[in-house]
Amino acid sequence: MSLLDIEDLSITFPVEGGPDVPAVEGIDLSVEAGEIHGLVGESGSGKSVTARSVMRLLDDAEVGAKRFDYRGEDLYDKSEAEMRQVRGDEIGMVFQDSLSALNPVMTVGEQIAEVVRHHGDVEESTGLLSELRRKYITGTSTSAPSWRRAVSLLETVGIPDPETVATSYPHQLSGGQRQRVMIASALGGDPSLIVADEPTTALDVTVEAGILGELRRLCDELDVAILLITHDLGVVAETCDSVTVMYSGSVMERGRTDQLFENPVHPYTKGLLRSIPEGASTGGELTTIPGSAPEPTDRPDGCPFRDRCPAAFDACSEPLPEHVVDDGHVSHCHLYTEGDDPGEVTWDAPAATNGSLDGTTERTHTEVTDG
Amino acid sequence: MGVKRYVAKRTLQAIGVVYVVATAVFVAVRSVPGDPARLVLGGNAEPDELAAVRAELGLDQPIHVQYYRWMADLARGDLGDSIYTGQSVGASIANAAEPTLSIGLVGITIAILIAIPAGIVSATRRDRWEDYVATGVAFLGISMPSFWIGIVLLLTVGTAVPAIPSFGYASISEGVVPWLSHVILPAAAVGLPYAGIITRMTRSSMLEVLSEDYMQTARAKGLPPRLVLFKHGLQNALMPVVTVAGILFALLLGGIVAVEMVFGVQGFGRLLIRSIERQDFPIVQGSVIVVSIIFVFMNLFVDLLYMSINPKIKYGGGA
Amino acid sequence: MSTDYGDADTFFGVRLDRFERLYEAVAGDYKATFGLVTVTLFVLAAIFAPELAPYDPMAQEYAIMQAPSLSSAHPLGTDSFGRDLLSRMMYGARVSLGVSLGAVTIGAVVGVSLGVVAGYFGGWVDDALMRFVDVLWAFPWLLVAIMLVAIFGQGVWNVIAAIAFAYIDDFARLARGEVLSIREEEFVLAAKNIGLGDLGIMTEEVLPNAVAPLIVQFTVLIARAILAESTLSFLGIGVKPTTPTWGALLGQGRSLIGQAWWISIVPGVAIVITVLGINLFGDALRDAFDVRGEGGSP
Repeated sequence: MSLLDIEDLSITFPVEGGPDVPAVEGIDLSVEAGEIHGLVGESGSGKSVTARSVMRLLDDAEVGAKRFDYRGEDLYDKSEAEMRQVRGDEIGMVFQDSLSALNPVMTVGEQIAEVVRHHGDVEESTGLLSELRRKYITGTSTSAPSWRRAVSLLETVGIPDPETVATSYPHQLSGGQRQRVMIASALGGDPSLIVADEPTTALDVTVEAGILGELRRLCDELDVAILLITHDLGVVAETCDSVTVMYSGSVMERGRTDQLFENPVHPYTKGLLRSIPEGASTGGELTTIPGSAPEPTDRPDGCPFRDRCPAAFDACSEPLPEHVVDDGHVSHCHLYTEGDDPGEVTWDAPAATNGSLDGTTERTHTEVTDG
Repeated sequence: MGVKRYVAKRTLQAIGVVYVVATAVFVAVRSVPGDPARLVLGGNAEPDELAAVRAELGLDQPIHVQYYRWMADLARGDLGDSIYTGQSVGASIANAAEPTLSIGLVGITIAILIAIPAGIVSATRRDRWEDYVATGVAFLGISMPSFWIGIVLLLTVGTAVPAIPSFGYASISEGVVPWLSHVILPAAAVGLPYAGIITRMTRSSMLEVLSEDYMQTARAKGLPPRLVLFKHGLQNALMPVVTVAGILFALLLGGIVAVEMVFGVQGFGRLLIRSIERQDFPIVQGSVIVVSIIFVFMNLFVDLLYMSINPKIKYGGGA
Repeated sequence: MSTDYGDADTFFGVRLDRFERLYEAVAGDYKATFGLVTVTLFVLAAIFAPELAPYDPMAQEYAIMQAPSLSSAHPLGTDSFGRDLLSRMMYGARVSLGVSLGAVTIGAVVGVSLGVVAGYFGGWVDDALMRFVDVLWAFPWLLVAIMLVAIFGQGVWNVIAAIAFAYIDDFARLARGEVLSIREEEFVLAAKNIGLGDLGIMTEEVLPNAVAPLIVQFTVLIARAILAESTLSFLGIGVKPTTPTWGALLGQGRSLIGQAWWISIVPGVAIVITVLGINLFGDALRDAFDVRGEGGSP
């Protein structure tokens, strides 16, 4: 049984006086215990919304799924009070922009310690009044078990001089340090799953490598599974055990990282792999996929990628099929439904099969930051 | 920059502003068309009376001597004497201060007690009836002159509740109950427009905070909603409100002066209005200076308060 | 090269589509519509007071002098001199609205000039002007008014000057803030590059882009000026006591509060409705122009 097992998930944002925005349309996603699963896609592909739906944090969206199981229990059957136990306790969350995601008027130590108090193994009062007294009057005692645990968590995530950092405010720390603080606070309740929404996008490359290494290490040493949202296949290649590729609200392909990188079958995955600067198999000059993703309200029928796909053909307007390439390796592309391998997709001549791929529209490649 | 240096710098700036205010008052008085002494004595004064007053006010001295004396007196806290009663201006103002301060402080307290909960409820229950009521009442509050609220309260509560006297003032030394019963209506009249402004500010500030990422983080930590709101939201929401609280003292003062007239309170407002009627110019100019000093230092205090609750501000940093 | 908004037309530098949004904001919002309609009605009543007023506001009816009352002949009653309150209120609207408009306009012109110059030139000019504005702020408007009355006696211009004085710093700070944020924008840099002079850049490029928040500020302060004027009149230090203003009517009603409560209520209702209307309209403006914030002078 997978740790997280989602089937046929749709997320729609109702818009007053306009068409509803279907952010995600019928995707499957599963994360195994103790693995790092990459959820990769461009801006607007629906990957961040999917991540937030796991925490049930989407208040203004309609979320529907055939199954939304965490440890075999459907998260969307739980009451809000039960869900609060899942949040922090079972599933921790790391957000992209650590400066805005950390409270500017609280020490980072307290921001970690409060998770420990509510979900960790300490005996400290968590009532509203005692929490407010701690916040506004006494401050958190540095000898409290929760604070000591916070300091040791900071040490766990590789922060030197954790005692001092714990008493700092977010704006006093560097971006990399803040992101480590976010990870430490996500670890505060000893969760089995951490949802990390583009944790390294705001960081520069060397810091990014450090954070990714940290996630890999935590996964291996603490046996915590990580759902890593990213727009960067390079990050997936370095960090993830398995990966789901999303495009414009749908899953294009999923599988183990080695399967996907060695034998990509979906034209979109192939296009993405060609546009990774380094680390992937292509080499040569950086290319991009011409055109841009459709607006969620303006997707073509069938495969959302077909207007940009060099191999598009008539069947692409049909609903997405499921094609099992290999054990655990699934592609949702009509090219494979006939059962035979269509051969090499020619990305070098993008305009060959579809007139709209003229490359004059905004050029999008995989390094687009998510909005 | 250290805390002490910052405070010292700001205090010096504040003193500088007061100095300029005092100079401006000096210039204004001496730019009176005709003769300042005539201001004092009225239109049909005898020449020898005028000369006597001029001598008393030092107006017969060269201008730079007058200026020096003016500033030297001010520095010693000497604002001159009332022409009408002969009492010193400082003592006159001090005697009138208690009712005015009482009305002001109770008014602010009422305003804060109403406005901050109302603003929070309004923001968290956005677009529901609680929000409509709170924003509607707040809007009405900022659209009414204090003195008129006073009149309405006088006609309604004042006549309906005999325990609340609708006229005069009782010093706090006579006991808290008589004091409060006299102060409550004028304070409410002064406080309601103030409450309207603070409710609106708290609401918009809280709405902004509610959409902040760190509020989502707090929810993702599995904290109960009320803890998210009061522990993570409240301080962030109230910080911008504190910054304008200082400015709002100006609003309060105008309100108090007029409300004192409605309720027949012998306070600072009554002193001012009477001084105009009596052409008691030293009181008027002394009041301008005293109130300016209060304004400037109140603003300084609010700045320092803001700094102390906002860890982002390191002394001398941005506002 | 002028302000570059693509294809959008502009009106005094504010994009016309903003006005369309304003129209939508007002037409679609019953509160804003109410605001606009009531304010318009009051303005019309003020302008056409001589035509509309049922009585001469100064005419006294001795018969009812001793017993001011409500009657069908005087729907809003009469004051202690037997003068028709409705007529006096219409004339009062002229003073109240006119003084407020004049005061805020003067405050805006002076304040915006100071703010734009300070923000545009920066450096010591900025420092000096903003310290000056700080000093202005330190003068409480009510005491300025009292001082002016004490020195010059009562009069319309004293009231206008005192209230205008109070709003200079609001406009100056706002304009300066806007200018600071606009100054480094590309179109201003471009205007500099093609050799447009400082004055030209300020009036043609910088100022129009700060118009929207200034309009909102103007509206909000008109509402506050009406309240300030009524306070001064109520205290008897506004325009001449013989002139009927809303505040003065309330002030006179105070001594008759036992016999003729309506004198103390009706002019107040007029003030509240007018100020409420302007505030509601200002709120709609704020939303339409997407201006944030609140605060400022009384």
